[in-house]
Amino acid sequence: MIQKIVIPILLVFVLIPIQLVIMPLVSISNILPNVVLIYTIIYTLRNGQITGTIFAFFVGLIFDIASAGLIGSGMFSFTAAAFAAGYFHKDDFDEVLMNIKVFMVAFFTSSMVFFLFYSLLGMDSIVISDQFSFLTFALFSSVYNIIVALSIYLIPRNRQ
Amino acid sequence: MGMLFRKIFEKSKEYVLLFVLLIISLIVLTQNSKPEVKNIRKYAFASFAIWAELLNSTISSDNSVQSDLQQENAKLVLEMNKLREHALENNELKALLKFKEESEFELVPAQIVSKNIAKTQGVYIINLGLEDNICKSMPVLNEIGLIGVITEVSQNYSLVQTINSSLLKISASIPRSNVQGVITWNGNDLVIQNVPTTADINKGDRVVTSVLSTIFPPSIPIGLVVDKRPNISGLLSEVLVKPFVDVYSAKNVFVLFATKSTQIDSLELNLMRR
Repeated sequence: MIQKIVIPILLVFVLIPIQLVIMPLVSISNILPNVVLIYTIIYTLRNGQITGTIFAFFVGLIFDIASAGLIGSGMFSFTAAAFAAGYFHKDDFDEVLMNIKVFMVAFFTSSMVFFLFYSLLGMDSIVISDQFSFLTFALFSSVYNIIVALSIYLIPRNRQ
Repeated sequence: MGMLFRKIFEKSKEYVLLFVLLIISLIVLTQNSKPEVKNIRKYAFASFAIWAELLNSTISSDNSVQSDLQQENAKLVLEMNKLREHALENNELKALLKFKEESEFELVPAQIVSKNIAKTQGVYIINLGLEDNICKSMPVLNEIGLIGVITEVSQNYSLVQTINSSLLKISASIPRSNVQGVITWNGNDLVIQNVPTTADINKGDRVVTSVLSTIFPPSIPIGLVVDKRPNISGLLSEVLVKPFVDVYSAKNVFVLFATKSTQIDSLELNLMRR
């Protein structure tokens, strides 16, 4: 219980300030990775679709409140992203890590879902004049997210 | 029947869960303008900002001299714009303006505690609050131009809705031809909607805050006209404006202590009070 819920939630409280204070420093043309999303995707890949989706829902709520964004937009985007990531879940997380292609596809799909919804739900108008720009933004943000997510391979792992 | 539903639920419980959570999210999203939700947001961002500021102070260096120079620059930009406006006005208006008391711009430097960089939700938290006499609707700018407006104030922190937020609507004008309009962020550019196609607008025209705005004082620089696109009917156009300020790379900002006209305010023309 503590390991599965409490520690991850506490970790989110650490990651959100990093996302809002440090990450803007590494943004390229207003495109930046989302470390909270990276953690949520990893959590879902480890714990499965249902647990991950519920976790992402609460992460989204905390993110919306802490970032002073529109409450609900993060909830929706994180939930949808985690649900997408859930399709790549394997009982043994190392199995996902071993196959870098699966890992990258999982991150790309979930990040695209997240960045698209988070941008679109922030719009005040229901008329989107330049849909292509939203797609490009989500694409570049997802690529940047994958690059940062790949740093997980730098963490030493216990091999048995 | 019950068994059937149970079987369906068992088979597709992840979809049911997703559907329920997304519906809750959308319901919450529609409640953002409610005062209760605004209050929760106010207290939550203020308590979170303490941690963000702590982290911010450990990574940022002292740049008070630079900040002073930027403040001076911002003041000069505001004055320069005002002078430029005056030069464009006709003699009759100038004569009328002489009766008005010239106001000094009081700028208070602020530090950005955290930034939420998203395509359509540009939000800052700055380290000034009620204790520094900050009020809602005060404009925030830097030495280049307008950045946004204060939308929530707590004891020590304030929330700034930047011009890169689609929720912010600013009354703007093009001083050269005196075209007025409401400018909003569409995710890529600032856009002045529904401008008559026949209006005298050229690429490179300066866009500033309008005298009609009850939130912003007039003549704060916003950006330059980069394009004019007529709509399907051809009668109205949208004018694309490139903002002077790159909101996301801004480091030091200033809050302009501008007091709203109570008379105008009482007319409830203020777009913030939707």
